[in-house]
Amino acid sequence: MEKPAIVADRVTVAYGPTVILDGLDLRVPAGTAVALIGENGSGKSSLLRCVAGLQQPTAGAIRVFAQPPGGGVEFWRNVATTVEAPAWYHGLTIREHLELVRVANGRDPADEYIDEVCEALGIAFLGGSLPSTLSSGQRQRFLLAAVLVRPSRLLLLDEPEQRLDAPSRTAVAARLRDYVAAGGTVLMASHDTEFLDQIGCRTIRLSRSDR
Amino acid sequence: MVGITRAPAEVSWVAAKGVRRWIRSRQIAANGRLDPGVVYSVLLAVAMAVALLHGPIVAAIWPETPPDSLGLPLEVLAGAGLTWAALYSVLRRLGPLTVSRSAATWLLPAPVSRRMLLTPSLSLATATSAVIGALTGLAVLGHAATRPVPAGSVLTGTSLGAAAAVAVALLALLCQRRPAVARRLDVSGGAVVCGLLAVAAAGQLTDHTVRAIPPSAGPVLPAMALLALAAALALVVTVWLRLDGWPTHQLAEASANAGAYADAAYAVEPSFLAEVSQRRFWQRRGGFRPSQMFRSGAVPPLVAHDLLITRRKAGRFWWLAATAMVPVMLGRGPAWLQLGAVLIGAIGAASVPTESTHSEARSAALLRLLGLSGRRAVAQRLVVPSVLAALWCAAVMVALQAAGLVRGPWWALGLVAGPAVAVAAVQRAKASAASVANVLIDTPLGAFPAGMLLWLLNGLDVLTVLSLPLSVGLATHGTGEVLSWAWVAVQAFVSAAGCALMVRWSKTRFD
Repeated sequence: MEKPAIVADRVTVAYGPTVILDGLDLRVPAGTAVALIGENGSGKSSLLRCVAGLQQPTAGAIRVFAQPPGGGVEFWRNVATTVEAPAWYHGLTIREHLELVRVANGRDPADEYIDEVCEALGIAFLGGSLPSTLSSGQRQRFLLAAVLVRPSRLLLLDEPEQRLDAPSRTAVAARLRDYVAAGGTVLMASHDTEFLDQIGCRTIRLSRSDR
Repeated sequence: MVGITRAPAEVSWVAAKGVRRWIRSRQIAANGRLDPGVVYSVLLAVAMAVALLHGPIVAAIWPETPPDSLGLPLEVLAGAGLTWAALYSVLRRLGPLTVSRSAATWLLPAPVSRRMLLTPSLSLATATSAVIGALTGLAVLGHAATRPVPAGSVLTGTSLGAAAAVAVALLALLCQRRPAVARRLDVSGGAVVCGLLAVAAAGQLTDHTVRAIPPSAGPVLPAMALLALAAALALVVTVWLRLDGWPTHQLAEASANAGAYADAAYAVEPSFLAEVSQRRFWQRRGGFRPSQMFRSGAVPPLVAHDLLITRRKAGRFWWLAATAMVPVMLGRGPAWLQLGAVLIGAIGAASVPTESTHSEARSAALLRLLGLSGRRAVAQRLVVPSVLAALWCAAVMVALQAAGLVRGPWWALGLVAGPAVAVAAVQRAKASAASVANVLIDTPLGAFPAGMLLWLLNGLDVLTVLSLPLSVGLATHGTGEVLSWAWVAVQAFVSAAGCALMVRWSKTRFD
């Protein structure tokens, strides 16, 4: 059996008296895509943050590739996420940001990979623009491109379909499907079942504990 | 029956005065006419400023000891030019044509007379410029004319100064209206300041003077000066008549910026000013040629990034060159003043590319995305600031040497001090006033956030320690001793140790 990429044992997340996740168990095998679905406030983003090591669960344990998620460089060389949007560098264009991401992760920025991703996400024409000039939808596509052009084994995506038009959603779904086919693992939160069907995700429904 | 708005609805211009009065009456109804606390604060601030500064200001404008000849010192002339350059810079940052942010949101897109809406802003900019210009003209006269000074000379000096300053305000208005002109003028402004500082430095070192206007020039000169002032004011009136044609986006952007500056002043948060300034700088730039810097792979990625940013800020090199003149200008002043100018100028040069470090400190997500540890990032981020600071310090030392103020291998001392300054600059870039501390100090006027003071001093502690050999050398150069190579070696060791410690103590995890 495939070794799990993510294992969560009895994870509880509470904000004061409000319990968001109550003893959740989760196993995400490597090379699969899993989507967390559920209404607002059901704990999808909180769980993603815990898996990324950006938030400590109130109780329980999480392992990512058999290691606790954390701040180590090795962890972040394996994991790419859109759970937190970075503040982009002043004065660097979209294209230069993507090249910087690729070269910093030990890949050749001159290969055609960036062109492919940008073409697929429909942002190739924005290569010379500064991030501050983008619309919210373009910024979302740029963030996805930054995550996709870097090598990783696990993608943690928080509603990647948000603010995307239909062709872009299809393109992102195709990219994620290819990523999983190549052995990558995806854990994401989403509200768009059609988008999830395009990727071929297994879905896990989270519900608010007050329901 | 409910009235229905037909499309297109008829639009007629509404007088801004009436709208303002209506808004004011609603504000008074809600908040009262005047907050006594605000009046007290403003009066106290003015009283304190007058008590503290009136002596030095009066002495600077009208020195008690009149000049013993008709010669006008070069540094006084350069000082007047620098005052007008500073006025231009402030006006450019503040607009100069703005409205409040609420007026920008609600009144700019409404059919309210734009001319009337902008009249207060234009009047304020013109009046302030005229007053500053008149005082500058008076100061030039005060340093040039023997006593007693005839009334005609005073009129000439103040009128010419005011006319020049109003012309500067007109230039700032032109820049706001025509961004392409603004870019060219901003760059050439740096060159002008650089030249003025060079003139001032030459004046300090050579005691050279230019021939001043004789006091017995008759009524022609005052009349010409008044004519120049009238011509400048006539141009302002021409601008006022055309205000209705100003596009909304230029006014809205300037109003938002002025509002952000006001917020920074109100919250006493100067690091936010730097942030606003950077955002404005990059907002005005675009259409960059695609860079091959990352593709070449010749240097580590963050070094390539800093090189790229430095190249894109080439227009600011004039300012760096200008500040390099200041220590020479202060060559005959007290050693501590010259030392301060060297250290502050050096940290300014090293800080050219450090806004990227600030971004990384603000958002660890960037380094996570890049897959780089804090240690590797800092090691790479130190390179370009070190080179810039080294070159700037070496240039200053060469200039001091050329002026005959120091002897020995000072250029080498400047070069090896660069990395020490870079450590301080990177340390400084990592912090914002909000992140340094949120300690409140109680004052009679209310609680004062200490974050600003700590932020202003942030990095200077590191600079003081790591540049100690350079500082001691500059403080004692007046003894006429020749600098030894051993002193250079000590500074090189301290600089290397500072860099190594900074890298060693940087985070290896993204906690």
